[in-house]
Amino acid sequence: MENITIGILTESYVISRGIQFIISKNNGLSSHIIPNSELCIKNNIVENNINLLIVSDNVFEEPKLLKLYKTDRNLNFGLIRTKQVSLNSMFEFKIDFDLFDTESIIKSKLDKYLESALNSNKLSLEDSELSKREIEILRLVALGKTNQAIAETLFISKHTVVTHRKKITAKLGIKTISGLTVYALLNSIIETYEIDELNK
Amino acid sequence: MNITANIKMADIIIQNHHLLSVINRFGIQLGFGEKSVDSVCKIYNINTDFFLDIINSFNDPDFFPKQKLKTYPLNLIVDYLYKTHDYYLNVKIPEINSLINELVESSSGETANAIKLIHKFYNEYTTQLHQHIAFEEKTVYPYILKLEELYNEGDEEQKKLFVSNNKFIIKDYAIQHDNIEEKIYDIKNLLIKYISPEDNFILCFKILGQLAHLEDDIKDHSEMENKIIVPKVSIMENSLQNI
Repeated sequence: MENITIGILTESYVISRGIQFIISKNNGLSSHIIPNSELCIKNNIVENNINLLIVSDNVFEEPKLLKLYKTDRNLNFGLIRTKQVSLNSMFEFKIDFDLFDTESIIKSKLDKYLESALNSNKLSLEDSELSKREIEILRLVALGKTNQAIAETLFISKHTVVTHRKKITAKLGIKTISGLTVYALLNSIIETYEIDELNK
Repeated sequence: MNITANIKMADIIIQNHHLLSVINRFGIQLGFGEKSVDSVCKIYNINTDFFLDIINSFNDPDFFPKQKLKTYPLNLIVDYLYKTHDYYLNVKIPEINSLINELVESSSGETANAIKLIHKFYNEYTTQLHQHIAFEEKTVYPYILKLEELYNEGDEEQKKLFVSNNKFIIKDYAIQHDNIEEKIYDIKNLLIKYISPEDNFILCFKILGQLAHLEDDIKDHSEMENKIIVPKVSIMENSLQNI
């Protein structure tokens, strides 16, 4: 767990501190509050080795954050919903908090994220050479998504998706979608119930 | 080694036992004594040249006499392809299936779950293979045989009627004739890289050997269809359409 650092960026110091307090109760997790006045968020993220940035919805809608979301492929995003408006569902958040979530719900959402993050780290470092992005794409391929759908979900071009898929096949030596699905299941990139749900 | 007509049939099998599956689909039984390839082929009424080209292409991956194969009548090639289908569906597929079943039953815990996934994948593949073969046997091969018959013996009226009544052309088949052996390659890969059935690795090796054998066989089969049949049929189609 020591290699996961959470950054917290909201418009409210009280909210940021509250989230940080709950995170601190999870052993080994470090977190860092980024002041909303920070001009260069990117530097702050790099300096503090942040790999998950939890942002409130108002802040996320600011151009500088949207740009960061689109350009920084190594950074995961979490969201705190503070107002009753829905963000574009195309955005993918690793954790999705509501301002009125109870402490236990926040904790369980954090635990779930940690579990998947640790699994994917383990996979990319030990079992294969797939990058985090490739694992993300492999997951969508295994869930039966088309190149077009993957491109839309991840805000990348279809051409980039094809390039990633070629790399995945070259690294794993698996050519077919069924083969990739079995690989994804074997390595817990997807779970059986997700496939079952698709077939319903 | 290039197998020729005067080599003893027994020697080619002794040298490469994989060729057993080929002589089997030509209907040749064991017990050929000292007879040469040519004599055995004559007994079974098999075109010796065609037999030699097929057996050599199995024996040597680099051997594929494209131009010579194109000179054989299509009905001879199609008849051979029917027999290879029979071999896949009634011999090879059930054989590998029961080996994987055996592996599932003799495994436990996580390995068993992983092998069950492979088994499911294998079943999915065999369903696809069945469908592919059914399409060829019900649509493609009868079409080819009829086309060849008319090309050789039909009068102008019959040829015109055939062209106007037939919506199917071989190009459609060539396009949808995807790489049917790719899934076997993946199953092999998954077994080699990601599953470690420590207690029954011998069984696992056996399965891998059988899969590799089937994969090579299907590759040869597809090559025959794509490089020999499709171009030859296209020429006949063009000729009939230009009447």
